[in-house]
Amino acid sequence: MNLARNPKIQLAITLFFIYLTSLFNNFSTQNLLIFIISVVSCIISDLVFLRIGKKPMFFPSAALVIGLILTLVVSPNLPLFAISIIGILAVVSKNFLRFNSRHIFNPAAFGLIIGSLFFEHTVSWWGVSSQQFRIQNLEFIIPFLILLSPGLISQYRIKRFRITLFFLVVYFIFQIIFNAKYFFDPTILFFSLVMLPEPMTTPNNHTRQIIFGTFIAVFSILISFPIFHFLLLTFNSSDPLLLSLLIGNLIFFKLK
Amino acid sequence: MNNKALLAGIVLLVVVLGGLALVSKKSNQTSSQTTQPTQLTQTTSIPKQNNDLVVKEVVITVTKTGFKPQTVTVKTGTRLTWINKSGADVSVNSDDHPTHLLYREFNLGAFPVNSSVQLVTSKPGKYTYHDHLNPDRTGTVIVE
Repeated sequence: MNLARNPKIQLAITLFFIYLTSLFNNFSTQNLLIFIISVVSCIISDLVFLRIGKKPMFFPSAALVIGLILTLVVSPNLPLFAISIIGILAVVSKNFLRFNSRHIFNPAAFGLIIGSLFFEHTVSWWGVSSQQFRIQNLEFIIPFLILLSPGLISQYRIKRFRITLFFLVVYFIFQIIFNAKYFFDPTILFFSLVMLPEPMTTPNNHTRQIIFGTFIAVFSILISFPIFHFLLLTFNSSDPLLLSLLIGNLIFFKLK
Repeated sequence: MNNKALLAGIVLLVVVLGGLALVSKKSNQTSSQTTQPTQLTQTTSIPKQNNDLVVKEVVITVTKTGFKPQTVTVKTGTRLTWINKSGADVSVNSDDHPTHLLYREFNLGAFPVNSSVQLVTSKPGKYTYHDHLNPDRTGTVIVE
């Protein structure tokens, strides 16, 4: 297949542009290094696992996407070895936690949540937090539109728009009831356009896509309340979105 | 598990959330008061009903490297003021990012450079918060 027509490569390109806009706003050596470490650890570990499994070698475009997602989401305060271990955990999940030749968990979410058992503050969403929608200022609109660009690929090429739509609608209804601070929250948009609709770990059936998107929205709100916060603390995590995604993956992995 | 069972599960979750909404709406009415972003040049007056509560003011400065001090320990009735000296907009919000539902009285929202937001503490406890626009900036308020 022509690499340029591969949806994963197209997604990787859009993620790289999101990274560039974040780096422009928040330049530091650490933010450069986390990109290199995340991508390299994911690609190399994927190639090693292919070799160990005696599978035919191919360009690891999925590992490239995982590495770029980790780059944008992982806390820049983590030591570099921790970031590389999170990348390896993500690729382990992609290669070994499988059912019917499809992986069960979203690899990036798995790496980050399991990583949080060993390292504190694994998730910060640093690369997808500053792109706020502000119509009065062009310099903010361009990064915001770049943030939305992966949606063109995830929604139309892999046909997962029901998941994203129902997640966003339900999530924002609850935000209005409980919070009502942000309607175009870049973190939520990135999660719903890039991580949530991952094709290998989400249902193909249209009704189940709707149920899946609704479930993730409701569950992520639910475990954010103090009364249910122990669920997050069990994983030493502070990220309701990623934990909900993994639990959703676990419930729906047989219901594709 | 069929679609009906899955839907039933979601309806149950929604009912639980609805109950939480009703309970939290009541408790929110008695929690701390917040003020809108205030220009530093303006004089800020404390709402009259808080006069008996406010015994002290603590200022937290937001810089490029984070909240200073990162952890403050105060008594109930203390007025906390966050001043934005970071060079860009800041948004003080409750943990966890990005749902902000753990301590909703800490959802003070975005405020520009050289302005401030305030909150009067009312209940003892440990409260963790962050800058929503730069979630690596985290802070803790311990109310005794």
